[in-house]
Amino acid sequence: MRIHPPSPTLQRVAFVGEPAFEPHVPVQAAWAQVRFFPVTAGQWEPALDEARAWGANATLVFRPQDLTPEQAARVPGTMSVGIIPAPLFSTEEAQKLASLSGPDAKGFRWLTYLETPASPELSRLPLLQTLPLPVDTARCPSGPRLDLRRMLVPDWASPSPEALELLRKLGPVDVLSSHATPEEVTQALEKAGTLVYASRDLMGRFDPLPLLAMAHGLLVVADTVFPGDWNIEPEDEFLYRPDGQWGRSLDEVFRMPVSFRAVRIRAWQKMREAFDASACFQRVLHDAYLFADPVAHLASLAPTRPPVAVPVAVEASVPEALGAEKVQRLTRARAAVTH
Amino acid sequence: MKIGFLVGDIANISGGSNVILEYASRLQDLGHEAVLITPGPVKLTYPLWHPRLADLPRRSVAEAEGESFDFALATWWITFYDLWRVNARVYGYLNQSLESRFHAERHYKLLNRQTYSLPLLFVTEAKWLVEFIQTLQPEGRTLYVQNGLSREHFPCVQAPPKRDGKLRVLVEGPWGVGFKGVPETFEVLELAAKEGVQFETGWLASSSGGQKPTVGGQPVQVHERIPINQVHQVYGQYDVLLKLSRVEGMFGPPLEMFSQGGTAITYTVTGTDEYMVHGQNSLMVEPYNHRQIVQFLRLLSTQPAYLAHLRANALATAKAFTDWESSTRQVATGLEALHTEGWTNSHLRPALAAMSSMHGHWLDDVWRAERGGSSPLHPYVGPGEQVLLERYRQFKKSRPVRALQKLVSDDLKKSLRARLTRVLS
Repeated sequence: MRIHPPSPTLQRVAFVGEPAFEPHVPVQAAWAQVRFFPVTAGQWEPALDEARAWGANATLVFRPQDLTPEQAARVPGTMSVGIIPAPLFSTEEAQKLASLSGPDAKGFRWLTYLETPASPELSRLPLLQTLPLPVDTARCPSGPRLDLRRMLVPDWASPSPEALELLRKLGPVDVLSSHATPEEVTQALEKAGTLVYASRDLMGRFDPLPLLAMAHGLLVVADTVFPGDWNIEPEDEFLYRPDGQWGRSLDEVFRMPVSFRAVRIRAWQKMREAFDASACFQRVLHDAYLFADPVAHLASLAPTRPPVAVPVAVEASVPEALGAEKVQRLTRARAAVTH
Repeated sequence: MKIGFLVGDIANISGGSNVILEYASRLQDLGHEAVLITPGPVKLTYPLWHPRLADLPRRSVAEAEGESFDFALATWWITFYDLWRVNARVYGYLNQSLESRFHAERHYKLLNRQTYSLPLLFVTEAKWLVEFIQTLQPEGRTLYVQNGLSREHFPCVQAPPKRDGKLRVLVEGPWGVGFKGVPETFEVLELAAKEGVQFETGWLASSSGGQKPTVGGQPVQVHERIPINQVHQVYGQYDVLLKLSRVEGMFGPPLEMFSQGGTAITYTVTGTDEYMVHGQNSLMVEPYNHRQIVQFLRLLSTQPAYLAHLRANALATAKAFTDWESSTRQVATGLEALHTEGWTNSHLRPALAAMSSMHGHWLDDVWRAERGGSSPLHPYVGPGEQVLLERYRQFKKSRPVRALQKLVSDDLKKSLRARLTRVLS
């Protein structure tokens, strides 16, 4: 998604949250300087102070419900948005958020929630938009590595031990521990070609791994689906295999890999079309200013030229291996251009 | 150059057919011989939905079999399987979308993927398709040319028309095609009306499917089966196009709306990257964020200056956009370069024929199986025979027969079975 460049006054955008959120924050952006300030051992003050000292013009905070009113008041910048990345079940937390957020509150001007709010308490919050936890695709490979065949199975979403044994007969299987650090998760994803995922819940709501896997160009094979309104298309962007016949499903993938390359490419593309952290957070901030004061937002906009691409003539055939530079040349570079 | 376009249903309105007709007719204008190759004889209905349809030579595939082409281009994915039937120096694919996404059935999706399995010449209109094709089929040749905006059918207005009164919202697309999202669009509009947003609604459709939607209790003005050279008049009556399709190639309708000084609200669907910019000429939402559309409609209905900002930039985008003449020149230049270079992939014809046979046999079997219900029985067995076979199977499973079977030795059973098979076959 291409977004109108922000006002020239928006130069530095801070992200604050636990280290686990770092893979979901843009490592760099064409539209502003961005930086992640990790909160360690529940200590918010040092991270917030560091963001303030850095000169953040706007700040996005993961899990705003964890802040005290005093801490919320110290969030730096002219715009602050709280990102709620997992379902809230506690009425107390909803009440706390209500006191920390809104146009007149000393805290967050807006909040985002991962799905359509289910309860009246949540609906009353100043929700700017729905936002599932996005993925910083710039940290992922710049093209699916279609030759990789290792299977990755998270130990918290694993098929039965019998099914796992069957999979081991088909090819190498890596089991990802639930205690893995973000770096270890990334390393495991970079080595694998397929993610095997068994769960009773919809994918992606509580666990970002399926989206991370797709952003890395893995083929996701699962016995469950993503929430319907995420528009991640079964069979075209991941394989939905509800019958628990893991051996048969993976055997098909190994025998006819060419048939499933298209699925891996589309998964990789879909993450960039709708779940890319840089684009998602740029639009969050754009809309945050727009809805807070449409007149002021309009006045702040710099004039732009029509966003029309330079026509391209013949693309030569691509002799090099799939991935990296070729793909980057075609989309990422264009996506990064502001107007 | 002689260029054959293998087409599907060319006689009826569709965005995809419009692209084919623009290229074919304008290549003809440039002095090339363009031929539409159809599955069978085509009956045109007058008035024609596209004025240039009658001017183009048409042949059925059977008629084209004896001819030689410099380029034979599949268009709709099913026509890929007919490519082998014509003799061509270059086999290609004018690819406007990943059409497997049009189908829910797995067998169609798998067959569609096979259309990328040979190193053809791919001519395509969107960067996401270039990326997809080159990653999937790096041995092919790819020609990326953006579709043009027809200055003939969508002449840009001087300035966005000034309007008073309520926001005017246009929905576009046929009712019955799931991924076009038309019923979903009316649901969003109904929600907006319930939340007090003030607007009026129209619906531009190639086919309304007999639907007469209402929004906020008010009937929607339906513009159905409008010839392409009159569509701009419909766009010109509205401020914003609300289009929630989930699959697009290069995404033409918002650009057509821009040409008439309107803006658009869409999903972040494939193709939007070609010319749409959120907050500059249009507004976009991710599908999971569709509730935001109500807020956008409220904003546009209450902030005329912001609406004017989007409309002005939308029109500027359309004015700066390439036209069909330029796009066709680029296609012609690309094809001429390949022609001069002597590049050919005519050796692929046997492979295309083999794939076509597999495709045909498999679809025939799927069809027979579907006709026979979801029975695992052989697809050539009809429903009546299936009932008989099922009864026989149950009879064999019955206790007395199983008890009898236990009394008979395996050797005797084998010998009886062999004798019976010989007698019956």
